[in-house]
Amino acid sequence: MATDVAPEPYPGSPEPDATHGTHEGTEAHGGAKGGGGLPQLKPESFAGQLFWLAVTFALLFVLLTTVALPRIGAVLAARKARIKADLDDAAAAQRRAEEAGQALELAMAEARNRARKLGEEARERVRAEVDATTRSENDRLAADVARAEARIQQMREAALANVRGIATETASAVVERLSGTAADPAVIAAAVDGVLARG
Amino acid sequence: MSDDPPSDDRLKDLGKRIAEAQGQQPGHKPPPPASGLGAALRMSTELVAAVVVGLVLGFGIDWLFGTRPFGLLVGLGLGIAAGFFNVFRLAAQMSKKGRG
Amino acid sequence: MAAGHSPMEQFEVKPVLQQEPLFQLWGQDIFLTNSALWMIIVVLAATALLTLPVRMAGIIPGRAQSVAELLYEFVAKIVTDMAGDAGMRYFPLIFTLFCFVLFSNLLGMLPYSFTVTSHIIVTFALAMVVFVFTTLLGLWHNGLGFFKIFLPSGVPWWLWWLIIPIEIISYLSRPISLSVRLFANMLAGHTMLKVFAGFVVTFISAGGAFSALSIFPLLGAVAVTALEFLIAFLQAYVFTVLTCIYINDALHAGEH
Repeated sequence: MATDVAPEPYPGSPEPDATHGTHEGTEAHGGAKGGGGLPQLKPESFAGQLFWLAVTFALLFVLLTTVALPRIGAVLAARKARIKADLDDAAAAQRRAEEAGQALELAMAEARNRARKLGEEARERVRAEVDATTRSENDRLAADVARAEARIQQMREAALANVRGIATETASAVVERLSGTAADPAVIAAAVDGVLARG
Repeated sequence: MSDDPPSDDRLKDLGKRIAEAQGQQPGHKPPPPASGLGAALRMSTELVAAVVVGLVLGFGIDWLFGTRPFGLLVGLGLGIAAGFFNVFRLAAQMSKKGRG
Repeated sequence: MAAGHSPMEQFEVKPVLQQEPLFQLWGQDIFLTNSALWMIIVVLAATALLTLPVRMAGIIPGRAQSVAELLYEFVAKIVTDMAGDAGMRYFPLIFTLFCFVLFSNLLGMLPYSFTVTSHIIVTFALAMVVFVFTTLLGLWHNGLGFFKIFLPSGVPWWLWWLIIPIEIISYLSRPISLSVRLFANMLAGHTMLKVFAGFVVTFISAGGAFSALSIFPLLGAVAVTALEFLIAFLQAYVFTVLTCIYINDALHAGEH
């Protein structure tokens, strides 16, 4: 109603007092702060701006809520699920690889143990064999030595006995020649025994 | 012993990387830091806004009850106090967000 | 110098395409103004960017789709950081506010465009949307317990007469600081842009040795443009963060 009565809200040409300074130079700076110069403070434009803001903001809200947000949300959810699945797969594969590695390590350790045990057993067996052989050889040698020693002892005793007979005979012959009479054999034997025992 | 350590290390590294990727799955970037000038502007706006509201309320009370100019003065004082409240709150919130 | 060179001229709201009012609403003539046109462009641009490039098929997003997703996740992160998972129920409204402010700020940097958010009435209306919404949300969520928001915990009873009015003023100042901050940033930034651009034109048209001097305001204009991009984004971010903080306050007002 009554557009002609209401003050014209949008002057087609700028009013000289409001938007134009008298001086061109002052307009750029002073015009901003000068009263009435700031277009933001002209209340006649408020109603229109509020109307359009309400309409466009509501429109944007509806468009975003019904079209854009569900779409982006779905894409993001799908990507998140995909990434999560991929990462889970990777983690599972990594776990399997680790388990395989552990199994391998276990098998290696077992094999190493067995090898060590086998080696030890072999060493043990050889050592036992060697020991037994050594022992039996030692015994045999000891027996030989003992036998030889016994024979030597025997021979020595026999020799000693011969020495005694010769000494006694020699002594009685010497005494008989020197003294002209036969010596008492008992005395001679005792003397020889004494010398032998000392020597 | 210790048969091929490189492959073992690579496997461990992979595990770490997977765990990291699982931890920070949605890629977010931190909010832009507030510049000093921006912070000052925000604080002065808070202060001025509260003073304006205090003045308007005081003026309204004067107009309603004819208590001019006491409503305006009280409103101004309360507005300044509220402005400082706003600024303190903003500063506390900024420092909490900035350093925390 | 013509009127078109005034840095304030860009903020003038005037009819475009036709000089006649489109229709009348409650006794007010409604024109299709440059402001209205750019609001519509903001809506179209935001909807187009956030809808058209987003395809389900592409697990690896294209560039435009990345931008759309980045904005979505950026705002979602702000909401969850500031207002928790309960705040995500109001994500559509917050995201609409963010997009409206961001696209208004950014599109306003185009030459010969109009910055919707450089008008205090628009930013104030947006701030009032936030203010009314958060107040109603607080009342609906906490009942009368919402009014505990005016009484911080730990205040002795004999200080209530002072603290409660201060808190009420502080609460009422929210839409003002919210709207003035956005408006002032846009006004100052775009005025500065125009001033520098005007200097460039002046120096070039002065001719001779002065044309060479136009390089300085040109560099200034480039720097201001870069700064303006940052501010356009930052202001949309701040508006969103504060909205989320207010929503969080409203959700937890009765809890102490």
